[in-house]
Amino acid sequence: MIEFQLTKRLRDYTLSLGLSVQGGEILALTGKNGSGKSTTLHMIAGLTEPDSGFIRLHDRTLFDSGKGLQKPPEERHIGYILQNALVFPHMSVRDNIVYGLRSRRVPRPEIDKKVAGLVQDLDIGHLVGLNAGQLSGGQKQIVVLARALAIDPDLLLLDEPFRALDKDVTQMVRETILNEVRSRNIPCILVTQHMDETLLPGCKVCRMDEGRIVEG
Amino acid sequence: MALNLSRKLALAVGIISVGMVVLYLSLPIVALFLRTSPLLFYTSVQEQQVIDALVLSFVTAGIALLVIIIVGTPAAYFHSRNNYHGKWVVDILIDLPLVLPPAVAGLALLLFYGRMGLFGKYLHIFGIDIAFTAVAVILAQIFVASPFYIRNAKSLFGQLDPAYEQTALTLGASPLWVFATIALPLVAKGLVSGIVMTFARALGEFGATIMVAGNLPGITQTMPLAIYGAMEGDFNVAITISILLVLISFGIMAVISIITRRKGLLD
Repeated sequence: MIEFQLTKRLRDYTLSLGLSVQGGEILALTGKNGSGKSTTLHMIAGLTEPDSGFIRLHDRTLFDSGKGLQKPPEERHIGYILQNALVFPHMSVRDNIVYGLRSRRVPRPEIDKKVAGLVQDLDIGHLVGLNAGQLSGGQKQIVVLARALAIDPDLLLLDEPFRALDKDVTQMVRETILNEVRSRNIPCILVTQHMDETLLPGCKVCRMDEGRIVEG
Repeated sequence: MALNLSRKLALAVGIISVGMVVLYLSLPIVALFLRTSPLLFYTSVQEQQVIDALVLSFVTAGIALLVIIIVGTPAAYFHSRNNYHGKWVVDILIDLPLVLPPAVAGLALLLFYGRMGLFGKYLHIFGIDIAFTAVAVILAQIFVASPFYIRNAKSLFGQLDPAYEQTALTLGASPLWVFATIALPLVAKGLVSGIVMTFARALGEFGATIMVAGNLPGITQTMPLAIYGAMEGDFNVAITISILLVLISFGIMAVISIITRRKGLLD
């Protein structure tokens, strides 16, 4: 479970919100541009420091302003998919997927086993040998998802995962996300500007405006 | 009819101005080639003074380039990715050698590294003298040539979407690993033109070098200094080295032109 209470003074308003998300549950943060959705994800991932509050993920405290604790992003163990499905274009698809594992110095046999599992689960065997820069939008989205899942994250953060994807690809990416979040029993927070109620059945939806939850 | 005349006039002005630029840039260089013959060039190029100057120029410019890349790359990355107090002053300092007269740079280097200089006097206590050695040549080249590399690197890192590095950090990579495996490879191709320009500037350095390193054949006499020295001695040597530098410079500019024309290579 992730639980957080965060405050951050932004240029036009003060962002202030507190939420909790259980394992296997998806929370969708919606709202217009500049309402503080992506900043919230940035703070949870450790890429932006909040002014005050706390972030607890399972039994770990990632941030606590009272104790002066701020874990760096590389120690948070969070799968974060930023906007625009950024694959590392100078690497192969396989090197993209194993990037986090290599960075954590995971032994080679374990990496191979992990890749084999992900390739099977996400059905991306035909992509593994390609250069990541050559992929289509939908393929990139699946590869960044595989890359984030490879590190067995304790939390999944997704920023506009369906943007610029056509209907069929959106359906495929949506099902993959739902399956992975439920089978791994990890909490997931998803940011999207326009929430289609049918997009993620059973997920909790909160609408944000000027840094606060105004609905949900 | 009037429009036709105006267009003809514009065309004539364009052609004449391009022609003038081509002439004032090419005629002095043509004059260099006309003052020698293939035989004379071949004979002069084998003279010890020319070979020494050529070797010293390439070795010192190569070392200067290496130092600039090793120090300048992480500096440019840190500078472009962080806001800190006095950043604008650092920006001006990085660019300063571009507009500073080389003689001023040479005098400043002498007053710092010289035997009685701010830093040099302490080195002198340990029997180390930098001024008027090949090390001084390298230091002068680093001083004047580094903006060519650092400005380019700064701009490339600044254009790189930080989301690449942020993603890598969240995957568990340390900031140094992110720099080495993500930021650097993504701008590597773009760095090439800066590297070539920096080497060319170091190779052609004259003013600062003569002030801080002197003009000692075989020790500090690089190719531009050898031309200056030969003006009062063997004029053929001066012409030969000048032609060599023209050929090298032309080659360097041709390499940059080929690189930048290849679509996507500098992306």
